[in-house]
Formats: sequence, structure tokens, C-alpha cells
Amino acid sequence: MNDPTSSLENDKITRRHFLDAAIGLGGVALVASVAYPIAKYLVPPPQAEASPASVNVGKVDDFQPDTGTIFKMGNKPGILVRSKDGEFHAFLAVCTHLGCTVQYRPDLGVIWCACHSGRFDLNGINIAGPPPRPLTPLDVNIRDGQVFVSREEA
Amino acid sequence: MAERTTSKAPPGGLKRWFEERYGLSKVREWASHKTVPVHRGSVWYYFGGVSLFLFIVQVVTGVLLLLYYRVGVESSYESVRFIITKVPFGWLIRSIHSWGANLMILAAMIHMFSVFFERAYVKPRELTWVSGFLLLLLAMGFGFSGYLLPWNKLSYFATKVGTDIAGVLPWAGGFLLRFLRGSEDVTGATLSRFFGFHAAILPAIFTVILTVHLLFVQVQGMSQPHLKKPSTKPPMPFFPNFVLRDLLLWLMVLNLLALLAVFFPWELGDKADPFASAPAGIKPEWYFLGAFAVLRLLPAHILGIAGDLLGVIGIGLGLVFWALFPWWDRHAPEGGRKAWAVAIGVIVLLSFSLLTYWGWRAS
Amino acid sequence: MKTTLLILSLALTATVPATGQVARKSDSGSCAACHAGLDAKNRAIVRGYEKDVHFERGLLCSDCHGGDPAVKDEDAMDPAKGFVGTPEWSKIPEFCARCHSNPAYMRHFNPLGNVDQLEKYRTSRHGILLAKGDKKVAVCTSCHGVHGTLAVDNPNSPVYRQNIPQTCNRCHGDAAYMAPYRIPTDQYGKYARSVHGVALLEKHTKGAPACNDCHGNHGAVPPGVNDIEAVCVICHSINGELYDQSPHRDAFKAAGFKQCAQCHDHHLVFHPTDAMLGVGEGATCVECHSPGEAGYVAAARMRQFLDSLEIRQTQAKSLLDSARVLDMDVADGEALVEAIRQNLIEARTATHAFSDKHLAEVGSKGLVAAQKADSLARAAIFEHKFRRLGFGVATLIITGTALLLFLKIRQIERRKRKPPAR
Repeated sequence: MNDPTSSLENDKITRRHFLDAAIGLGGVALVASVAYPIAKYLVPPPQAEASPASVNVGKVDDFQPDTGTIFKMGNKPGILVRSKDGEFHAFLAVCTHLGCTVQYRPDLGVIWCACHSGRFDLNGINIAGPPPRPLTPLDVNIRDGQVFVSREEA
Repeated sequence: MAERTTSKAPPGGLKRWFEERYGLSKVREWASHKTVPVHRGSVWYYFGGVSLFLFIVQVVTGVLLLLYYRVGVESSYESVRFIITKVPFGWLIRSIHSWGANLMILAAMIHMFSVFFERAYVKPRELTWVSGFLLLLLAMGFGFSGYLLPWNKLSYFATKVGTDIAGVLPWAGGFLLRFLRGSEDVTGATLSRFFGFHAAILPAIFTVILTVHLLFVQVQGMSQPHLKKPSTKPPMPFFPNFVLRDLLLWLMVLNLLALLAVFFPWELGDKADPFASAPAGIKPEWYFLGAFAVLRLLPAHILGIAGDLLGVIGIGLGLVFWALFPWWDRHAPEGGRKAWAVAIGVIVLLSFSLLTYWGWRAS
Repeated sequence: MKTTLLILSLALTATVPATGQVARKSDSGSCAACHAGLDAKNRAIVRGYEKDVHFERGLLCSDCHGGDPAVKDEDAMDPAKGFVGTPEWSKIPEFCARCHSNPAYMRHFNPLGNVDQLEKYRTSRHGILLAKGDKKVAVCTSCHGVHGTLAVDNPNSPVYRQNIPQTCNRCHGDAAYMAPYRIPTDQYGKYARSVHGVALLEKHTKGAPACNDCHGNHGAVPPGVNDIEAVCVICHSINGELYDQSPHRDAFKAAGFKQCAQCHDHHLVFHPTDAMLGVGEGATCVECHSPGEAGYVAAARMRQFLDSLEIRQTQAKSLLDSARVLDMDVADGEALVEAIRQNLIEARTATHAFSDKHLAEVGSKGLVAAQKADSLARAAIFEHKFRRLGFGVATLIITGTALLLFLKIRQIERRKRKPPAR
């Protein structure tokens, strides 16, 4: 209270500088807290696309003729079958009977469901057993030696 | 901060470089003379700034959403879902964009009614009023077109009902309906079209009108209301006093947005299915509830004319009347308001609020 | 109306020159003309035949019963003209087989159809007993109907898949009728409650087995004790494969056990539950295995494994649910839950190898999926907390800066106001 005026003035000046510095600091923190989410947002996420229209199942040569491969088609399993003559066929691997995952049986040459022996031919048509409907077909495209499977256009 | 860095710049350095080319001192000179009147209604001045801030937030978040959003019947919903689940902080950006849109329209409405009751629209500011009102209508257009973009059930049916209204107009109705929807029904064509409106056409128009609106304010200065007892307080310097206050409020609005986004994330709902029956509780965004209520409250036929046609015409005429209000209320008595103008404002505000409430309750 | 149609079509066929098997110039409908007016029974025969698949294909009374419809009254039914009238009960199979076992003839109507019905019938219980002179056993018409016989794929046919159980039950459910054969008559009741019966009769599943899918139809016999598996594997193939490699196959054979039916019953096949496995109450294993045996230990372990897989599934689901309640999107978890469900089906099937090691191997996939679902849900729940924390930090920064700005404004305004005061 009894301080000389000069020190009071000095006090005020330091207080002002302190406040300015604090505001500067707050500003920086503020910019950081806005920039951080934006920067994170800009970095592409591991899965690059929303429900990708097509799934790269692998290289053509990875699939021997007369084999079947299960892959992930969105949230559902898909099955890619390479027939004896080398052609590719793909379907959702969900049996139309009770929803078990189907598999390819080279010995029978059909897509087969282990649950109740339902059978589908390589066009996905239900040919034997309980399945009431054909499998949902998927499109197969080959680009640069890679097999891409996509949902058929409705 | 800006002041500090420039003052620290070595003389003849950056400061002079800019000074020589752009005459910054003139700008600062101008800024130091710009003042804001201080009176008991001063608080209303802030809502224009808040609307502007929210518009900036919308632009920033909207541009960010464009990075991942993919328009299309097969991808719109999926990409929004992708944004809110897979993209880091995507949920935040999307929620802020949705909440920000609503707050922006709310702020703009408050701004509009405060201008109305302060009678700030009278000569020479008629065009500021008109451009401001146009901005509000455009903002609603943003809201309407943006609502459909996630392509979810509610938005699909709300858009269907909303665009149907255009169809009731005689002669042009059919054309207008097709123009809005891009096809007979709400389809993928509507979606691309709305995306075009929302992300390209409306922003372009909005930016031009917003620039004009702000220019008017700068040229004419802020309106000083004609009070019976003129304020004795000296006006406040625009810079830094008013700007800092603006900034303070903007920070609070930003915090509010973050709060809403974190604790009340904007729902995505189920994907639109054109073949499904309309779900219960389809309702438009709150700012359309009033109009929605009018159309629902009107009887099917009034004097042999379709009720909703009359409703649409009535609302349209009302909007025109409102936009041209500065010309109805021209000759201002010094230091006073016209009772009938205030009455109209109160009626409009009250009926809008009540109809909105009714529309909200009814759906 | 229908009768007029019949007569009209008969008249039409009469005017069309003979071109094939169907058009017969002589059949001018005289059979129907008289028989419809005889008595209620005859009228019913004529009416019924209007809907008959044979009539649809152009066959007339005389095509089965012989005679000459071109001639009036009793003369039409002259045995000399091939009239056979009503065949004896024991002769009905041969009566039908005149056409149905003739591939050359049947080809005109149903080129893909079988012509081995009589052959099979003779091997069936029905056929064997009929040959011994039993007049109560089923012949063709007992199941297929007569003078109103419908195609097998006609939903109103008594031999349409869904109608078969009731058709068999007409005789097999009649205790008095079946008394001389000393076989149970409760098959229908049991079947209707079984997983197969419910699937076929209540859920109308196309592929669900009816009586004939296990017993055969024309060659109907109860499968022998050692043939049960052969029947079940038609649909439940993996189970059969595993069973064949398991120690149970030979042990059951030696003990004269009923293979699959030993644990699952035959007509009353319920949807199996985990309770059937293990050493607890309701477990079938303990019917043979007693404490201390290797089989007893394996049974207990297998049950424990299934239980733990089931629990892990429930846990994963509830964790995902609690993430969902927090408004977190865990759609990817659904695929994992589905993977666990698939694995549970696989694992339950794998129990038929009757090896706890095999089961643990098969079920490991499910455990991995459950682990993934768990971490996914936990990550979502953590993310939920993280968002609130992040909001807290941001609020602190924003509020702090706002407060500093407030102080700055006050400072500026005090400074500005002071000079004029001085």
C-alpha cells in the first residue's frame, strides 16, 4: 500500500506482461486443442474407405484351381471358388438354410454347408439338401493379377 | 498477440514491407476509430458475430467432412457411418457440424429479432435487413439440403414430405418438385442434387450475400437505437474492446458445441429404405416445425381451395412481407417506435414460437 | 359346371382324330354319363376323377379299368373287351405298375420320373406283408389316393412333403388298426414335437425331413440298428464322419447300441443341448461312463469347454451391448459375434469325435473371436471415456483462455478510463 508509485507502475507493467503471456499461452493451447482433432482427422484411417465397394481377395496365382477361400465381405463371410477350369465364382458364404458358413468341397465339386449337407453348384444354385434359395452372388473382377470381389449392383 | 509481434518486428522489416504495399496503418487507423454504441441493448450486437463464428465453424467442419463423405445411395449412409466410427475424431467433426447448423440458425434468428425490435432496419439500413434475411433463408436451405445427406430413414422421409410441399403450388408445382428432387420421387438423383446445393451452390451464394451484408455494416457502422433517453455512456472502441468480447463469447460457443457433440452425439439412425413404410416421428429440423405445423393445422379445403396451397401461399407472402418490412415502417418518429410495428414483431415471434412448439409436440 | 366341363372335354377329345396316347376316339364319356347317376359313391368317383392328375394328362376310365366306353350299358364292361373293373387290394400295386413300371410308356408323361416303385415296394414292409396275404397293409392308393390322385408336388396331395407325416399317421397312429403288428403308434406325436417335425410342420422348412426321408417311401422299412447312421448322415454328414473316426463307432456296434439314436432318440429327436454332454444331470454320457474312466473325464472336459465358449460369447455380447448403450458404434463386433456363433455350431458338431482335444482345437477359433470382440468393446468403452476426458481438457483450456481474456478486457478498460480521470 505504501509502495512508491514507480514500483506500483512497474507492478502493473509486469502484471500486464504476465497477462499477455498467459493469454498467448492460452491461445497456443487453444489452437492446439482445435488443431489436434483436425490433424488426427486428416490422417487417413487404417481402413481407407467406408464399406469398400470391392474387396481385394489376393493374387490370382494364390488360388489353385478346384479350391475355395473364405474372405471377409464387409461384416459377412464371402467365398471365392476357383473351379477346375480356372474360373472364379464368388458368393456370400452364408447358407440360405440356417446361416452357417459354407465351404467348397473339391471331392464333390460343389459348395457345401457342413450344418445339414446343403449343396450349391458353382453358380450358387441350391441343388441338394435343405437350403431354400441360391447363395447371394458377388461379382469377381481381375485387375493387374489381383482378384477383386464386389457386391452385385441391385 | 498480433500487436505484440508487429511491434517487435525490426523497423524497416516486415512491418514496413507490408506498410509500403498495403498501407496497414490506414486499416489500423480505421479500426481504432470504429466504435460500438453502448446502451442497454448492446448485448444484442453479439449475435451477429456469433452467427458469423458458427458459419465459420460450419465451413471448416463441412470442408473436413468432404474429405470422407461420398455422395450416393450406396455410399452416403455408409460414408457418414465410416466418418463417425472409423475416422479419428470424425464423430466430433460430424456432431459439431450438425449441432453448429442448428445453433447458427438459432443465433441468426435471435440476431434478426433483436434488429427488428431495435428498429435497426430503418433508413439507411434497409438492404442490410434484406441481405440478412436472405442469409437466414439460405441457412435454412443449407439445413434442409444437409439434412438429407446422411441418407437415413428420418431424413429421407422428412425430405419427401418437405419437397412434397413444393408440389402443391399451381402451374409451377410439378416442375418445382422435379427441380428440387431431380426426379419424380426422392431418389439418388435428389441426393446428388442436394449435395450440389449444400456444398457448392448455396455456399457460393451465401458467401457473396454475407460479404455484402458485412460490408454494409462496416460502411454504415452499427445502428444506434432511437431511445427516449439516449445513452450517456461513451461508445466502446471496436478494437480491441469489442473484438475481445466477441472472442470471449465465441470461445464459450465453441465450448458449448464441444459439450453438445460429446454428450449428445448427433444420431445417424438407420439407412433410408425407399420401400419401407414411413417411420413414426418423422419431423423436420426444428426451424421448419412452424411451417410444418401451419400446413398440418389448416383444414383440407378452405373456400374450395386446397388448405396446404393456401398455407404455402400464406407463408410465402408472409416471408415477402417480412423481408420488405423496412419499407412498411419508414417514417420513424424521433426517439420512438411505432406501436403497430412492435405489435407485428411480437405476433410473429409468438406465433413462430407457439407453432414450433405445437409442431414439436405433434410429431 | 365341372361335370359339364368333363363331358365337354370328353366330347372334344372324341372329335379330335387319334394322334397320340391321349386321344381315344371311342371314349365318348359313356362311363361318366352312367356312373355319375348311379349312387353317391359312384358320383364321388366321377367327381373326384375330374381333379385327378391322370385325367389332367388325358387318361380316361377305360385306360385303367379297360372295357369299351363306346358301347352302351353293361356291354361296355365286357371282360372280353379288357374290362378289369375294380382290382383286388392285393393286386393294386401291379395294377398301377402296368403303366408306372413301363419306362417306354411313362416317358410320354414324365420323362424324368422313376419307374422302380413296384420293385421298391416289394422290398418294403408293406410289400412283403402284402405278398403274405395281409390285406391291411398300405398299397399305392393308401397313400396317393384314388380317383382324385394328385401330383406329388401339389400341396393338396397326401404325399406332398408337409402332408406325409399325417398320411402315414392315418394307419400308423391308429392303435386298434396297428394292434396285430405290435409296433408303437406314437411316432407321429413324437415326430411332431421333434426338431424335424417342428421344422417341417410348424416352420415349413423346405428341407426338413418327413417320415419317408429316413424310412424311404415306396421301399419303406425301419432302418436297422446299424443303418441309423447312414440315414442321419444324409443331412448331418460331419457328425457322421466324426462319429466314424471316434471310439464310439466300434464300441456301439459291439454293444448293439442304436448309433445316433442312442443319444438322440429316433422319432423324438430334440434339438440337442449342451446338457446332453458331460457328467451332470441329463447328460447321456453317464449312461455308460462312470467316474474315473477316461471317457468320463473327456465328457466332463468337453462340456466344460463348450460352457466356457458359451460364456465367452455371452460376455463378448454384453460388453458390446454396454458399448452400444454408450452410443458407441461397434458394428464390427457383430461380425465377431457371428464368428463365435459359427464356431459354437462347429464346436458342438465337433463333440461327435468324442475327443476333448479335438474339441479344444476346433473351438480355439471361437475363443480368439471372443477375445477380439472383447477388446473391440473395451476399446469402444475406453474411447467413450477418452472423449469425455478430452472434452474436460478442452473445456479447461477454453474456460481458462476465456477467463484471461475477461481479465484483459477489464485491464484495457481500466487503463482507458483512468487517463481522463487524472
